[in-house]
Amino acid sequence: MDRILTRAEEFLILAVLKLGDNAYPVSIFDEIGKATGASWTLGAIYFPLQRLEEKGLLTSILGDPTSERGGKSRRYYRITGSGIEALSAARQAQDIMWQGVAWARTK
Amino acid sequence: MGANKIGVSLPDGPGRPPRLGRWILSRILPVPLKPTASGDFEELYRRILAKDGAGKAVAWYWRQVLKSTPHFVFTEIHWRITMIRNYLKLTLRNMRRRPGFTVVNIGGLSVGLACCILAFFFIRDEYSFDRFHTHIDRIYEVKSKIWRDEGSLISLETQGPVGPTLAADYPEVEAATRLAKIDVVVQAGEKVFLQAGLGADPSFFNVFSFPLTRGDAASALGTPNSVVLSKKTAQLCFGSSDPMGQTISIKIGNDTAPYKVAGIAEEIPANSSLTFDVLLPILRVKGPMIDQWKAESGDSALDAACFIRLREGVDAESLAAKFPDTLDKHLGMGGYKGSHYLFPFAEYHRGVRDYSYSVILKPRSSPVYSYLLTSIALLVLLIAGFNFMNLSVGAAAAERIKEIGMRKVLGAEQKNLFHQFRLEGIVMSLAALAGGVGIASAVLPVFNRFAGKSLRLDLIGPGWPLFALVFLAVFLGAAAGSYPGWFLSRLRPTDLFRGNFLLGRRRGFSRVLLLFQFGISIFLIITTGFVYRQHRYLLQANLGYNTEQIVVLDLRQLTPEFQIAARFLPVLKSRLLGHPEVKSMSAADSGMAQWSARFVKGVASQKVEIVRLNQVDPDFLDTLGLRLTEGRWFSAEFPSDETDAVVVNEAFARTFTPSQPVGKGLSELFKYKASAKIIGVVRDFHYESLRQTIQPAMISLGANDVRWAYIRLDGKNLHQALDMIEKEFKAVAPGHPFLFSFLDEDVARQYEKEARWSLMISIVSLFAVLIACSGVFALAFQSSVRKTKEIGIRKVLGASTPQIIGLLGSEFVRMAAAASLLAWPAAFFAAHRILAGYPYRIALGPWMFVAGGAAVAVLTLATVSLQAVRAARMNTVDNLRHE
Repeated sequence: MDRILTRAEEFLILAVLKLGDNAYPVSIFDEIGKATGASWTLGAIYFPLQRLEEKGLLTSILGDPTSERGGKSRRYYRITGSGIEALSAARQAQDIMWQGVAWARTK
Repeated sequence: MGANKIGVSLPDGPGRPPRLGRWILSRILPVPLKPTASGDFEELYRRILAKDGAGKAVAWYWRQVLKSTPHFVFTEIHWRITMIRNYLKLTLRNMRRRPGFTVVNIGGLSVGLACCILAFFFIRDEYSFDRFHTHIDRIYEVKSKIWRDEGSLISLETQGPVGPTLAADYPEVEAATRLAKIDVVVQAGEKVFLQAGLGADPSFFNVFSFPLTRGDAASALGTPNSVVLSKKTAQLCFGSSDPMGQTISIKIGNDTAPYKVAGIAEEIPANSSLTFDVLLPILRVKGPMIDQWKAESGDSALDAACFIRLREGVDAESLAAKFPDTLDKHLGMGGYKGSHYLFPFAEYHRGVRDYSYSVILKPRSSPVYSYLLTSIALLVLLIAGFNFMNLSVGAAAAERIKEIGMRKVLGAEQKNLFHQFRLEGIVMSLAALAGGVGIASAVLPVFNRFAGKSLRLDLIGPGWPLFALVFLAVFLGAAAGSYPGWFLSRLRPTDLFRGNFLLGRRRGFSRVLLLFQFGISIFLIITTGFVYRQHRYLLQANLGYNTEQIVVLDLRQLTPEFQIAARFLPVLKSRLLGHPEVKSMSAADSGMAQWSARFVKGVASQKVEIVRLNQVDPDFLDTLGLRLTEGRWFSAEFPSDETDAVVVNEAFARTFTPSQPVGKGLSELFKYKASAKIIGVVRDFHYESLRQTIQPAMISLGANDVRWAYIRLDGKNLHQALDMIEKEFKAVAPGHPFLFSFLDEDVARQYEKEARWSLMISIVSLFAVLIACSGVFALAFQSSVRKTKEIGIRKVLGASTPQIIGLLGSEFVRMAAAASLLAWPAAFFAAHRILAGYPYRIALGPWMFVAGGAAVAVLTLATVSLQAVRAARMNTVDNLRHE
């Protein structure tokens, strides 16, 4: 992994990780919405998901079509080994950056 | 639900999002999201519908669709770039894997495109001719014609007063200028130059757009002694010092007078039909007689070209309709009718519309050659395009079938394969375009010399030819790549793995392409052959006089005063004849190939003809080796020959005095030289180029003011003889330039145009044939692959290498024969059109047609042999094992 994940990517991978077998765009969208409280655009999460898949951090499989989805399938995402690595690298970098920050004392 | 994971669109039902919204979403979704994303939208919609009701849900849906649009567009673009990058990667890999094929394929198309690029710039230049005049569409040349019946129609320049009359009396005419061309001798200080002079009226600059760098156009020709110089001439005369207001001496005909420089013209563009070095008032060129309507004599020596500029919105035809009652009244005479007409100057150069002749303007281009060049360029491109397609299909079919099969098995869709092939075609043709531009710019200087042009390859100049070329290349590449793409991608993988038998199936199409290539090649070979042979003929034809071992001296810079004072001709002649290497010497007023044209009206014979005149010295007949058919030549025994005798050519005799020309007085025929008698008839000889039929001509004595001298040598030591002539010339005419040429070279120079075209067409045709050969090579290769087993079995049964060549080659030779049948009528038509432009020409013999077909057959066989020998030499066991 040559580049540290962006915050959006980090959130997406974390959502996929937490959702386990039920990670598909709608649930990911809900998860991120719950965490950040902001109102997201559904269309905005596809491209980052696709990029993460191209980079090999996520994989996906198609589910069966259902009628409540207008006859369309769900695309389920799952994290890969390099996805885990990237996530922990991001976490590590963040921890290192936070070390010794003394802002809490001024409160 | 089941096996189909891509899903289907369900019909409308309760709980589904708004139909229009769904439709919009389905339009904007990028390809990779199509199978699932609309399902996500619908799932969320249904959740909100159940919780908050229809109003909220619909609003949410629309908001999401709108806000998602930019993201989707972005994703789509990204996806496309990724796909194209993948295709490109494969394309480059394929090209690198078969470098020979890639080079042949791209090279062929490069040559085709280079031909097209050059032809395009050539044609564009042809069309841009004279277009720099601001009012080009309103400039017309006024011409007159005289006729008694169809056969005697003659077009002429106009009488002097026509121009001023038009400008003064016709409100439609904004400006008119008369023009007369004459060579003038310019003297500035010590320096003397022969320059192309042009006589014009002061309104010259109102009709034409020749900007002046110095001086005022409105008044530049205002006084009888003012003169406008071209930039080049000004530099010649004055170097870097300021020419404005300086005085130069100009000799026109026999008059020498001082002139004041009143203007300097900007450099005249190469694509101008009208050029001049020195622009003078026309009165100085033609004399005051120019302003009078001519009397009955009808002598055309006082005519002048006349150009007018019409007022905006004036219809030329409505103006011409007024001529019969006005201008035309000055033309009719005897039993002749005369009329004036207007010829649009814009249409002069391209040479499509009928036009008589002009002594003022540059020769027109030959439309036949322009058409020929354009069609050859397009044909070469066509051959190259066919070849490109054949090579791509051939190579793909022969070598890539298994690759394609494998990719299909791995899930490549037909569409993907098709895109892949099409992109390969486009990449190759764009590479070929780069190559073509490279080739075109490399050969441009040579092309310019051959075509007599000064083209520049400004690809991003006016009209942006680069865009058109890129468009053309993309189109060609897409077309050439689509066929193999379409053909191969729709086959089933099992067929693809079984391979070879397929090659037979698609041969029909390739063969049609090859048939065309053969046909075009044969057409080009035949046409080139005729152009080449016509040029040889022009160079070698019997002109009716001697051109070999004759040195021509250009004496136009020797003034008559000087010639008379120094007794130039007699002295030079006696000195030269004292040398044994000089056989004879003569001099004349008009040079060979440019006898002065004079229009004379016949009285007795009632015929009007252009009669050429030349004044010569008595040794003209011997020096040039002319033959007398009747009567006698000028002789010192008859002193009256000096003034009262003319010798005519056979054409003259045929036209005016069918019976008994010798002894006839000219007064019965012409007002010119009315006291003279015809003393002899010379056999017709080509005093003009072979492009003109021999016209009636008269020769009279008059050696006081000569402009050309002809010296016949014994041909032994040319250099020494030339040195000797120069020394003698300098002794008789000190301070005058020694200008010489050889008559045979002068004659050959007349056919420079033919020489250039013949060479150019030969080269282009050679390329076309080479490209076609590479196409044959590709097909022969396929053929040998297809027949591998057959060849193996035949070899086992004892077939020899020549028999194998026959097996593979007979098909192509048959095709060459069939192509000949297609090409012959087209070649006949083209050759006929080209030769029709020459009154003296070679016959359209059949052997050239046969030779064209045979040449292609032989070349084909040679190409096939390369392939066949390889196939025949292969180990038989390998042949039979081949699967």
